[in-house]
Formats: sequence, structure tokens, C-alpha cells
Amino acid sequence: MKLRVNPNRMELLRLRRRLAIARRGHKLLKDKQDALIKQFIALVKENKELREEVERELQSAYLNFIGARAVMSGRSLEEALLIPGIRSYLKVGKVNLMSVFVPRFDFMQEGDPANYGFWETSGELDAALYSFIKLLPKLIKLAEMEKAVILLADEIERTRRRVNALEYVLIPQLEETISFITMKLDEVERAALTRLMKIKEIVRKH
Amino acid sequence: MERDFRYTYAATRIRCLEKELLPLSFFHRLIGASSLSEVRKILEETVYGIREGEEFDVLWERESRRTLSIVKDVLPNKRLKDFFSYSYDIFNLKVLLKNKLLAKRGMKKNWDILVDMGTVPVDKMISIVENEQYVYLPFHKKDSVYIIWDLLDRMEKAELDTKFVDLFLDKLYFNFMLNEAREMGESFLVEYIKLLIDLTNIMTFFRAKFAGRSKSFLSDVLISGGFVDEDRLVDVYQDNLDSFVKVLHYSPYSGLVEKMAALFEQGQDLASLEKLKDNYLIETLKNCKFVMFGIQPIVAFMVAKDMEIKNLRIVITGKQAGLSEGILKERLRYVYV
Repeated sequence: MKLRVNPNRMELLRLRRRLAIARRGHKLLKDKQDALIKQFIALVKENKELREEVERELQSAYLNFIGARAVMSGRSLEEALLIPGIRSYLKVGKVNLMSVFVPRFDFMQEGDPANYGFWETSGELDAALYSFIKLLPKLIKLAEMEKAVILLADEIERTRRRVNALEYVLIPQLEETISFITMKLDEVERAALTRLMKIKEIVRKH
Repeated sequence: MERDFRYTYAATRIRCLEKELLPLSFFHRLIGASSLSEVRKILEETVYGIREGEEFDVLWERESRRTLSIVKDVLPNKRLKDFFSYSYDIFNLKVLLKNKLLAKRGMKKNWDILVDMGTVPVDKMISIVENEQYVYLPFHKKDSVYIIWDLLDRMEKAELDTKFVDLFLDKLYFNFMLNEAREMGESFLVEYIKLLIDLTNIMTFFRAKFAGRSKSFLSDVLISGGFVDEDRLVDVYQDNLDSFVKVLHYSPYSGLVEKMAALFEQGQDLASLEKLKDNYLIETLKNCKFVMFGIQPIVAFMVAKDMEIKNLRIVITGKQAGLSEGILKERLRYVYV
């Protein structure tokens, strides 16, 4: 669908300028989209590997915890875990990834997870807690990565919409309008020429 | 052999109650149950009669309470009756001292887990700890007061981790129990406490190795008073496990530690080590079946009951978590009967 503009030379020049900008923008956005997709695929692959690793380790940690829960009474377990032995610190920042601000978590922990005595507690509880503590930085990393993937996916979606809008709507519209104006101007030119020739002929007859 | 007639009634009553203990075939039946409601139905056939909608944890606690009450009922004197309740006192003391530390950090106190099975009523225990009147604790007065004050003081100065509440009180408990058993002239109780100390120390050795703790840490946490001198375990801590096995070669635990060391070297599976330790305890106490006159059947019954509850917890927690029958059977401890 062409734009509703006056078919004159000034408008034609303006639309040609717009078309040139739209084509340049389209190329840039297409390049950005390609780079984003490349980054996205790499991140998704890394994310998938990390998620599988975390799920595997989480399963084994939970299995140990179920074991500890089974061999210790509820009260003993609560008493053992009454005071947490680990202090965790989480610093939240942002990193610019292809003009997308993705979160960056710096996670630190100090202390000893097994903050209880050895009598009346189970070795399985130690194993479970150490697995959980080893797992926690990976879980935080996974959260960071998954959020980055979501944000990148949104950005890809947004960029694709822009690329499509340029490619299938704006550029064809501009081209159609330019062609319409060109034809119109040609038509006007031909009409003027015909008119001139007609006048010239009338003048010659007299 | 001299016969100890003080426990004739107790031993006879306990022998009758041993019939209530669940055999291994029962646990296999429980493992084979298709659903938790079937597990409940099977449990109804036993002394663990479960009420409609009742949590399993309530059931285990009720049975522990019943067992303690039976044992207290049959024992001939107060000192012996108290002997089996001190573990609950020490548990309450740990909970209250930890709560004290939590309060100092501005966190909410949690007294819900206190248990009213000790020699000191819960209210009195709370008042002792809150008012810092540790002289009223049932343990050696001077020792306990000194240990607790020293512990709290060092915690305040951040010289010690909060885990040392448990570790110090465990030492206090075993030391006290050993003295009590000696003062009562109960040689079997002395041996039993020593056995518990040794098994705790052996397991601590592996748990410390698993966590990569230092030699000085092990030296701080091992409990003294067992058959095996704890310093010998500390000495070989940084060597390979063969040295550890050699140190205990001439002790009653040689077979146990050989198996434990082999399993630990295979994959550091603490769950299997715990199982070996529990099985060793039950196997050792099975000798009590042949003692007719003495306190042995009573102690064995209490341990057997604890192990039975542990086995039931293993099966039911495993079933709730959807573990396979194979895993559950593998995790079961030996039964006494």
C-alpha cells in the first residue's frame, strides 16, 4: 500500500532519502539480529548444559537429604540445622551484551555448611549439605544465564519485528510510493510534452 | 559367673516385649506395599497403630516415648531411669543454647523442637538457660557450668563456630554418662558408652576426611573415653586409610573399619558407612540375647527399638520420595530379632 503523499518532486526526493535510510537501517538491524541469534544459540547451548548438570547434581543432593531425613528424627534434623553455618553474599550488577543489559550475579559464600555435632547426626546430611553448597553458585549462574537468554530472546523478537516491518512494510511502501510519484511525474511530464506539441501544431496550422 | 538379680523382672518383661520387635520380613512387606495407604494398613497390625490423618513423625515419637516409659518402668532405681533420659536433656540444652545465640544475632527463637522426655522438665530447662543458672543442670555441676560458660564466652569472642555448641555438649554428655555408669558399677553400661564413643569417633574420622577438615579440628572434636585412644586416630588422620585400618587392627573394630575404608576409597559414600556403623552396633548388641540376668537386654531393646524406628523412617520417607524397592532394601539396617 502506497503512502498518502502529494506526488511532487520534493516529496519524491524526501521519500528517496527515507528509503535509503530505511535500507541502511534494515541492513544494520539484520546484522544485529544475526549477531544476537549467534550469541543466543551459544548461550542457550551453555545454559542447557548447565541446567542438565544442575538437575543431575540437585537430584543426587536431594537423594542424600532424603537419606539424612530418613535416618534422623525430625527434631534432630531441625536442631542440627538451627543455626546456618554459611553466610552468603550476592552482588547484583548489569552487563551490556549486544546492547541488551543482562544481569550479572557475583556470589560468594563463607563458613562451614556442617554446623552441627557428629553424634546423632548423619553423614548423609554432610553429603547433602556439601552438595547443596557446591550447587548454589551453579544455581545462581543458571539464574543469571536463563535471565540473559530470556532478555536476548525478547531483544531478538523486537529486532525481528523491526526488520520485518522495514523489509515487508516500510521499504515496499516507500518503493511503491516512489514508483507512483515517478510515474505520476512522468505522466505530468508526458502530458506537458503532449500539450506543448499540440499547441505547437495548432500554432503551425494558423 | 555371678548372676545379677536386680534386673530379673526388667529382663523378663523386656524379653516379652522383644516379641513386638518387627522382623526383616515385615520391612520387606512394607517396602513391597503399593501405596502409603497400604503402608498405613500394614502398620496397623503392629504396635505402631496409626490414627486417621496422623503424621508418621508423630508415630515415631509416640513409640520412642512409650519405649522410654516401659524401660523406666522396669528399671529398679531412679539413677538408672535417669541414665536413659539424659540424652533428651542434652538435646534440649543444645536447642536452648543455640536459641540463645540466635537471639543475640537478632533472630527469632525456636523452642518448638524441645522434647519433654528428659530428667529436667522443659519449663525448668528454659528457665535454667535463660537465667544462666547452669548449676541446676543434671550433669557434673562444676564441669558443665565451666564448659558452658567457656563455650559461650568463646562464641562471643568469635573464637569458635556455633557448631561447637553441639561438639562440646556431646563431649560433656559422653563424659558424664561414662562417669555415671562407672559410679553405678554397671560394667556393661560403661562398655556400651565406650562403644558409642568409638563408633561416633570412627564415623567422625570419615566425615572429617570427607569434608577435608584439618587435623587440629579432628583433635578438637573427637570424644575421649572410648576403648580406642582418640589421639591414635588423630595421628594417622593425614596418612592414607591403610594406616587408620592398621591402628585399629587389634581392636574389636578391625573388620568394621576395613569395610568402611574400602567403601570410602571407592566413592566416599557416607550413607553406606553409616549403615555399616549401625549394623555393627546391632550385631554387637545381639550378644545380649544370651544374657538372662543383667541390664544388657534392656539396653539392647532400646537400641533395637531406635533402629526399628530408623528402618521404618527409611522405608516410609523413601516411599514418599518414590525411591525404588532395591534402594530401600539396600538402605535397611539389621534388625535385632
